[in-house]
Amino acid sequence: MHGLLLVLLLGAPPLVWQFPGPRGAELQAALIAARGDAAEHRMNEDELRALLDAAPAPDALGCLADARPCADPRVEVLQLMGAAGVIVATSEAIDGGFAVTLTRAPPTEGPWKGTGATLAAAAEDAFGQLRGHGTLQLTTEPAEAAVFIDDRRVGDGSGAYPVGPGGHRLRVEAPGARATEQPFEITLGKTTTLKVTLPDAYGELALLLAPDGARVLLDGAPVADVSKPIELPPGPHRLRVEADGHDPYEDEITIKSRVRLDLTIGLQRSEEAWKTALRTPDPDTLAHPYYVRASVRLGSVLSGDVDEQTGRGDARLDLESQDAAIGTGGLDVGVGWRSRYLTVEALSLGFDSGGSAVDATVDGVDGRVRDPFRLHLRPGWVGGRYPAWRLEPYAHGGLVFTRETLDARTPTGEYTELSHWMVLLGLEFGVRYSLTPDFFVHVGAQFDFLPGERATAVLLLGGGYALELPSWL
Amino acid sequence: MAVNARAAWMAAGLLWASPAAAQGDDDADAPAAAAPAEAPSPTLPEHPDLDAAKAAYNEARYNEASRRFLALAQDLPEAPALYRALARARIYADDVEGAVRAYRLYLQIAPKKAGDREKVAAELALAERRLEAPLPADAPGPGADALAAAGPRATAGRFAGPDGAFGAIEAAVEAGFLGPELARARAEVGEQLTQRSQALLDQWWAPDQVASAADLAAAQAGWAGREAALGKPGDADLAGAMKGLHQLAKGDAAAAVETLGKVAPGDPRLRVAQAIALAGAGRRDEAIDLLDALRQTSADAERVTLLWAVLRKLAGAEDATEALLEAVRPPE
Repeated sequence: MHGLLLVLLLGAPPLVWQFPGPRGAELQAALIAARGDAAEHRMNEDELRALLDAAPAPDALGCLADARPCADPRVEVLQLMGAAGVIVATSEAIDGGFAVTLTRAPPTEGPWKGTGATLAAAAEDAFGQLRGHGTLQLTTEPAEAAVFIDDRRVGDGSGAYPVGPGGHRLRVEAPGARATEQPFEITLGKTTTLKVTLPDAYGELALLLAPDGARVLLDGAPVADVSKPIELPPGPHRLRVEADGHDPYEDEITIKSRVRLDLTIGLQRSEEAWKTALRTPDPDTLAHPYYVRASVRLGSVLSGDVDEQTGRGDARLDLESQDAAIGTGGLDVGVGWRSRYLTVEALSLGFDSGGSAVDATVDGVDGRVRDPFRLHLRPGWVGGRYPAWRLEPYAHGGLVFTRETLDARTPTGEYTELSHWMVLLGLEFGVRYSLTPDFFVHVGAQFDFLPGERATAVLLLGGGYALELPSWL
Repeated sequence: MAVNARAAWMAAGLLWASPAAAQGDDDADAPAAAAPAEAPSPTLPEHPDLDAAKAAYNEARYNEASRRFLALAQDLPEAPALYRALARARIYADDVEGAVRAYRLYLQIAPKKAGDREKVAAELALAERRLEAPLPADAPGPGADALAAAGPRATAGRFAGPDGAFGAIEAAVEAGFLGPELARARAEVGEQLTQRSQALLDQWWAPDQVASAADLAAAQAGWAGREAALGKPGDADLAGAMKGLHQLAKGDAAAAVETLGKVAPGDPRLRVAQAIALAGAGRRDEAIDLLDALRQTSADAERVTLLWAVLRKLAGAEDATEALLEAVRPPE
């Protein structure tokens, strides 16, 4: 690239740079570094090519067609292509360093000369002369902080730094403190004042994660690269680690200044969704511990022996067996309490009533029974439940105190009402579905039985209301 | 006396009927003590109009002869014999002062050992005696003032028109100026026109100078004026160059193409001008081809390449950017 014309375009009219003579390539590199964001100065062949490529076709040939005088036809051609002119940069070794001279063609201004201990410093000085300077009045805390402007160290601590006009980046570093970097603008001939107070040095968080690809959020913000230690300001931070198909990990960690915290986190693979749902009760199912419920009962009194006697005048009528099942229907209500797994239905009261007549054995001969009516009381049934999602399978049981009344046909053909008390064992299982925190529906099956007695089997369909006990209770 | 003198003139005039005989007659009239190293007398130069002038003289149409010899002497001002003939024609036409001036010019430019010097000197003396008042030797002749203006005008770059250098020479001729200064003035003005044209061409070519349309127009007119004043064309290449460059400068590219295409085929500067004219006339491809050829041969290939690259940009060539990049790259 030595000795190559280079172009500047964009914004202000572009200029072409030329680096003839010894150290041309080195000088070119130094000036490219010194130009910063001075976009109008283009200093390599690609920039020149871009200028020539983007330039519209000229509408005149200038001094090439003798329309005007020019010192250098090459400069003329570049001007025809939209350049403002050419700057020739040369250097020479002097006592104590280097001198750089920038000469403009056409010579509307300049030349500019810069000196420095190194070629880069001389180039920057010369470029600063060309562009002019502003001043950055900087105050640093701590005072011994190293100051970098556009990645070049310009000094230590507070002071007035000459800087070329335009946008720049300031970086301040100090041992034991957190380096900071920020943009700033310099206006030609003006002073820009900045104060930089470095925070305490950060600590580090080093993570070893399983599975690979786990995502990390620190204080809610995703961390892009967890392969290297993460610098964090001292203090508490919220760490969350996530991975698809795995249970997330979340915890609060504390970072100390200049201390590295090493954490190894292995996420557990998540359950399948249905398992999780099965294992996880919906809050509605646990909202209130107390409930009242009501059910429609559809069932039957099954056949079986009957130890039933009743008086008929002085005689006694002996119902020995019921030879077929009798369908029944009824209602019941109950109140209870439940925890997550334990359920206690404190009391329920209901009835079943049947209508059809079936064969029976009465006083040793064929007879009929009809219209059974059972009133039953179930105190203190205890059982368990398993809330999962909104479903709540349950089972409970206990004693059933039953008062049965039915009509039996005597051998004479008359029906006589019989009634008696029974103490049975009861068992109920079913499932509830919580519609809301307050309401649920349920379906279940209930069996009352005792050896030597007719059993009943009932389908329960109903709903309930869950509640908290009033405070006065 | 007058009759004898006239007879003497007549005898002299008859010499033109036969140059060989005239020479013999001169020899016969020459003093017996003539130096043996004596040179022959100057003879009349060849000229298309010479015969008509001699015929007018021999047929005693002296006024006409005077006009014709005057024109011949102005056309060939360094031929001494024409002054001698003019002087004798003027004597017979009774233009004694004019004859004296012509005799003096003959004696001034004729070889010092010319064989007829004494005879002509005697004729001059005879004519001077006929003057009513002596004519000083340094008395300016007619048209001298006009001729004196030619040089400064040429130096100032003014060649054509009544106020130009050639206009001054024409004015001097019309006034009847006689003398070798006329030849020198023509040569000087012609040289100045040549130098001026070459300078304008150099100016046109030099990047840091501009040949103005006005200067080119003046030079072009100068060449036309030169032809009018001298009756013959000058340097056709320079004249054509001035005309073509002037046409280019005033924007008449098509005419410039026509003009420049015919002049100085070996001058790369004019070929570049021709290419610019071609481009201006919309014949861009021809211009690019011409410049491409020049790039291979021209000593100033860099400038040709610059123009070539710019024209490629104008033509929208795909490789125009690379051509420009190469063209603007400075030499190592």
